[in-house]
Amino acid sequence: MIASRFWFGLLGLALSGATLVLYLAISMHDRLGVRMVSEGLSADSRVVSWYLKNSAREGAAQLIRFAANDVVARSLATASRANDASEIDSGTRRQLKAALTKIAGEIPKSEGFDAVFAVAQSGEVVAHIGFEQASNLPDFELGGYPVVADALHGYVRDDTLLFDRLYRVVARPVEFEIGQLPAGAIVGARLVDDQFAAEVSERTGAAVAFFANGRREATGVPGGFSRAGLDQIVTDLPTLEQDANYKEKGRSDVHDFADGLSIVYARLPGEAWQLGAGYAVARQAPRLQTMLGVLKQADTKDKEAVNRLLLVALALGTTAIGLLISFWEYTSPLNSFRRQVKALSGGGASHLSVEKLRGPFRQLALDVNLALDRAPRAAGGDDAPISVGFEQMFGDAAPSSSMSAFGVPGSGAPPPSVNDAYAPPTSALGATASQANAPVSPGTPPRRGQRSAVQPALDMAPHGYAAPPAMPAAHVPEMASPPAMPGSDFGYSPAPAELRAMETFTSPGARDGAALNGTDVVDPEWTQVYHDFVRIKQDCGEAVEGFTFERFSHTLRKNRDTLMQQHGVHHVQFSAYVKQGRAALKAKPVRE
Amino acid sequence: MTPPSGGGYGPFRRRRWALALSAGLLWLCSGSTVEAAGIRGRIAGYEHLRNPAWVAAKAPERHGYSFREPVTTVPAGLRKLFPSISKEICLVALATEVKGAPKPVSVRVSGGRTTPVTLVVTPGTEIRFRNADPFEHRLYGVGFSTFPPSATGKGATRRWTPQEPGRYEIRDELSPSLVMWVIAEPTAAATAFPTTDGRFSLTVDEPGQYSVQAYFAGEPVGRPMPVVVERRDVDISGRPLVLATKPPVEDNNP
Repeated sequence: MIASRFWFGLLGLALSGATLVLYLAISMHDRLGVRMVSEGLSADSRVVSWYLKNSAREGAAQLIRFAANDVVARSLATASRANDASEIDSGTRRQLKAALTKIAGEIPKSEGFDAVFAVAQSGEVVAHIGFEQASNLPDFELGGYPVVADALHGYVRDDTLLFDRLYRVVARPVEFEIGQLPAGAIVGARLVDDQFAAEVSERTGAAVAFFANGRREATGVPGGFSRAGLDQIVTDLPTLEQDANYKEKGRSDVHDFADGLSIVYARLPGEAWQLGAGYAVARQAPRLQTMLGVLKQADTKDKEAVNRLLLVALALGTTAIGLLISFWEYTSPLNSFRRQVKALSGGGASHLSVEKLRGPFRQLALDVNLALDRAPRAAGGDDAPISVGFEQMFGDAAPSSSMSAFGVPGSGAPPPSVNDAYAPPTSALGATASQANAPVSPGTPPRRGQRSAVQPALDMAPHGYAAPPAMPAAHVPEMASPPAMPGSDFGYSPAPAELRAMETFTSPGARDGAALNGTDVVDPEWTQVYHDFVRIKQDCGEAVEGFTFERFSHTLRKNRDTLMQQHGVHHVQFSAYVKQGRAALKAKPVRE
Repeated sequence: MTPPSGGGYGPFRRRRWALALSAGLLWLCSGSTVEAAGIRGRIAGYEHLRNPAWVAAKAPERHGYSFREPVTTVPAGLRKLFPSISKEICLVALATEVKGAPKPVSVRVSGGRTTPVTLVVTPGTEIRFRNADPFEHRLYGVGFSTFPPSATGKGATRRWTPQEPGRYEIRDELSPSLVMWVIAEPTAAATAFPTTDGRFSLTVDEPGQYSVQAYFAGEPVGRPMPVVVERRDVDISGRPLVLATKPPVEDNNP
């Protein structure tokens, strides 16, 4: 019992400890996840920036196809000689547009442009493709933009322009004569739309959204990432005004959202920088939050990392320890008990061997032995052995309000409860003086499992007879309780002398001899006590056959003498009463 | 047109006299038109000017680009951000007396700039900004309240009249590179914009003494050239207006 309880406690502690570790692990994981997301977002933002730059360089390289084309260069040179856009003849425009279309068709689609402009030295757009909104604007020009101006002055560079929509632009000069001012410039533009964002996302692996004028322009996310999460940037964009890093360095701090989404904003290079246009990269923090989250988010690699052998060994080990304890505490005593019961039922034994049993089975064996002892007597046999318990000897000894009463052997009354039978001997034989004198509340059963002093005596009896060791009379005063104040509770504990009286009952021969002893003095009150006792037994439905006055008086005498000697009184007054539906006797030393 | 004199043509002679008289009266009635004269000239040294908007945009701290590299086949001397003079330099003939408000002036808004970029007018001249781009612009005056930000859609025109003499800077909220200067000069008698080779032609309504001045980026550049206009065109091409004599400091940082 103790071991199993200890084991259960140990398992509880281990479970509690494992839960603690799990909670700590979840918290640490989530915290690390947020930190890794922050670092990852910073990396994503830089990667996207590098991609945009690299993409612009690749675009500039593609523009060489246009710039090196003779038709393009000649047409621009012709157009640049005109003082006004209206002076550029339409034939030159058509020829140039055809050349642009042809060259654009030769460029792989993934590296091409959405719009291409051929710009004269004055800045006028001589021809363009892919920008249909300017088709009916003959004086449409681009020369004021720094990117075009740079190209017209011999530089190749990129920019991000915000026309009706956001464009990534790259431009380079078109030279007609070496050593002269460029004849014009060729400008390629990529519309920043969902397709462009998807390409950026595909190449960088980042979830990216481009924004301008306070609204989202395009979104590209990798597989498994929710696009809807990036819609939240629209409501968050106004907060960038307070972000010093974003305003000064062009890259914001990590903005965390409630659902674990984290976003870093960055400005786009070019004119769009000043217009507040930029892009946002987002990551979803891998948060476990609950213990179930561990199981939900574990992937195959995580599961493969688990040491299954250790888990199985742990489960088997703890189970084995539990079973072992269970076997030791329950199964083994039960088997012993079963064997003894089997021997008892088979006639191999008349009683159970209490000393061979452990735990609750020892108590059960005692009860069974008592029952076995009482059964023949209940059937009326005087010759049947008498198992005398303390209560049978003194009746209700447990209550401290008065001296214990004693039962009369051979009464055939139903056996007293085990608790009642054990409590008094505890104080009588084995307990310390304090224990012996400890007041016991009426009707309070002694603790089960408490090993009493009388128990060894019962255990040693081969047939369950109480065979307490004979104790010298000199020891009696030491073990007896102090006399109670007259009229008060006596706190009486039975003495070995009383047990010796019990011994007398256990032997029929001795019992008979004692009954015939003519020197015994019978108190005149005892006749009345005897009648009262018999009447009460009959009232309680107890058998009175064979219950003679001689045996009654003999028992009273023995106890009277013992009590007189213990308490130094000259008279002991007995009285019969009903206790728990049974007849019982109460003894009270009288000092006067 | 005058036919040779002499000969007996009778009624034809009287008719000729009538035509000559009518022509003389017409010439007298439209005397001002006849007095209009041109000032032809040219500018020099403009290659040393630098467009301030472009120069500012190339500064790395402006984050105007992710890469900007020179094309080495273009001579280094030409890789300078000199202005497009036909749009950015304004030549004005300043009279000695205040002139009245002329006709409205149209300004085209397109391609990240206005055309012209610098404009000299007399106070009270209406300026009409025409959006030639296929998208919206929001022009506004910097430092003055008579030209607040307002959207001008594709093809739309916005009007504004500078009432007081001074220098007005106009920008666009949607296009940071766009910047224009309007100089309201009471004595401005005529304005002109040079061709790509630097030639210009000013037309003044009345003979008199004028001062030809070039303006660039809202400021006068070069020394003013005095010109006396009589009843015929004046050609000062032989003495070009020198706008700058040396490259600016910005050239140290290409």
